[in-house]
Order: sequence, then structure tokens, then C-alpha cells
Amino acid sequence: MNFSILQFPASNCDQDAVHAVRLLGHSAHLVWHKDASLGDTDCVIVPGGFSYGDYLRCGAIARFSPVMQAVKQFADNGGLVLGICNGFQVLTEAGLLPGALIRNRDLQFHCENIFLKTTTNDSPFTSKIPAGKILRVPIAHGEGCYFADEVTLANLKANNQILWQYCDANGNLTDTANPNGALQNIAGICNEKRNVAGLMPHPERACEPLLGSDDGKWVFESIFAALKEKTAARAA
Amino acid sequence: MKAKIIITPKKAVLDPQGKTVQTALEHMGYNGIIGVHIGKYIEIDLAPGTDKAAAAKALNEAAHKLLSNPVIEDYKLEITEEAPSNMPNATEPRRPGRALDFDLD
Repeated sequence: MNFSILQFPASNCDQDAVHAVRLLGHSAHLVWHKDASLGDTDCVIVPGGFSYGDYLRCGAIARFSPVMQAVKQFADNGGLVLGICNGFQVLTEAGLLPGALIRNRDLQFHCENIFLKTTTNDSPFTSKIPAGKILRVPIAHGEGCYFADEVTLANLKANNQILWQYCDANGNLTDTANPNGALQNIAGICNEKRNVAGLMPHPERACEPLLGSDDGKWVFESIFAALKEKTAARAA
Repeated sequence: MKAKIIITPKKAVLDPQGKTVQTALEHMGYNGIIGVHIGKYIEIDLAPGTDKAAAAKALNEAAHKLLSNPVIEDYKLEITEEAPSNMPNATEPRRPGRALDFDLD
């Protein structure tokens, strides 16, 4: 499978994403923010960082870059798009995902390992995560507090769009396990069509034991499986 | 002419900065404060002779699309006859490469 990893000025997790995809046996290439085309691609990753210096609001400027028009079109056609950290912020600003990410409730930048509960396996981003598995992955953000109005939140729940929630080591959704004050401990969501997802934690930084955890690989394995199924369906 | 845009967090949105500043003010002995909300203030210099109604329409659109995020923020727009700020970027012609390289859709 071929992954397009976007690169904005001040992206800083782009290489991590490329490394993770290649480590797991697939190919990845970088796409510059001024490119209007994604090239031959099966999946787009909008990586973490501080695109455009986080000026105005995180992700606010990046969403207007030429490459995001291509991403929008790719997503509209059913292509898989994953936003990680700043990438999640860009996707909410672009309107590809509902809600917004605001300043952490304690005003601190959090750089630590957290635990994640997978809320549903019913998505191309979570299907291969073993049942009941609590993922240990890092976070690194100052604006990761997920917010949405009541109607949006109710819709997310009704459509089973909440993919990951912050939890303790035993999988309990406690307030102390919530690093940023996100509503309902929400760490990641998908759109209604389930082909666009975003999360604040960094699965790409936890894909090999050398880095302390390889739990993040399950997110990528889920994507690979979904893409394989898609290819098989197309061939049939 | 000058456009002034004040952006504030929506009521339902957590505003930890406002809360922290409120606590600090209370510690300093300022009584009677029941809320502090921290937002942004943006000033936009407009060319002389700009049509006020047209500018208001365009800037409302820009405020909705870029300057504020309607999910979490409210904004107020005011256009005044004040002279543009005497700031270098108000008069200096744009050099190639300095211009913002994106278009509003």
C-alpha cells in the first residue's frame, strides 16, 4: 500500500509517520503543502507538528493550503485519511471532522504516555485492534481538549463515531486519566462515513518495542487490512 | 478605514486562561469579579475609499471561515473611519514570497 504523508511548514511528525509505515512493510512518500495533487495514494496521513506556527488557531491556516483541497476531494471519494495530533486539528478546522480542539484544561503542554481504550472496532482505523486491548501510546500537545456542542456530541455517540477514549491502565474512563479535559475522555473520532479519522495521541511513535511500546501498530494494521479489503473488492 | 474584530470563546467552551486570570485577580484582592473571558483582537487596515458595506460583507465571511472558529468562538466586527495604523506592514508593498500563499475557498 502507498501512503501520502503531508508536510506543512513546521510539521514535525511527518518523518515519524513515514518511518512507521515503512517499518510495517508498506511504502510512504511525503507530499509538500503546496502540491495540488496527492499522486498515487491509498491513504493520507496528516501528521503532527505546529503547521504554520499554529498561528491564529492550531490548524487554521493549514486547512487552506493547496494540498488540503486534494485531501478533501480524496476524502469525498471515500479515501482513508488519518489526522494525528496537529493533523487532527487540521481536519477539524477543515470541516472534515466535527468539533474542535482547544487549550488543555490545565494550560500545560502534556508530553507523556497515556492509555487508550478503543471504543469501537467498527472502523478502518480500529478493526484489527484486539478486543479489550488497552493501548499505551504517547501524547504531546498543548491544545488537545476535544470540544463539540451537545448536538454534535449526541450525533457522535448515536453514530458510533468515537474511536478512542483516554482511560487508566485498567481501561476505566476516569477523570484523572483524562490528560487535557476532553469531553467524555475523547481522544479520537471518525466522520459519519467512517473514512476520515483523527486522534491526539501518536500511534506512529509507538510501533516498535525499542520505543517503549508497539501498541500503535494496531492502528496501522487496521488501515492496511481495510485497504487490502478495498483492493480485493475492486479486483472482484 | 479600519476593521476591528473581537473574538471570544463561546459560553459553553472551557476557558482555562480566563479562569486562571480570574483566580489571580481574586488573589490580588479585586472583588466582585464573576467571570473573565480571554479572546483575541484583530485589527485590519482597509484602503482609503473602501466601500463599507462591501467590506463588512467580505470580512464577515472571512471571520466565519478563517479568523474565528464558529464551533468554539463568537466574534464581533466593527468598521470605523479611523486612519490605518502607522505600522510598517500597513504601507510597505508586499514583496513576492511574503504574500500568503493560499486562497480562501
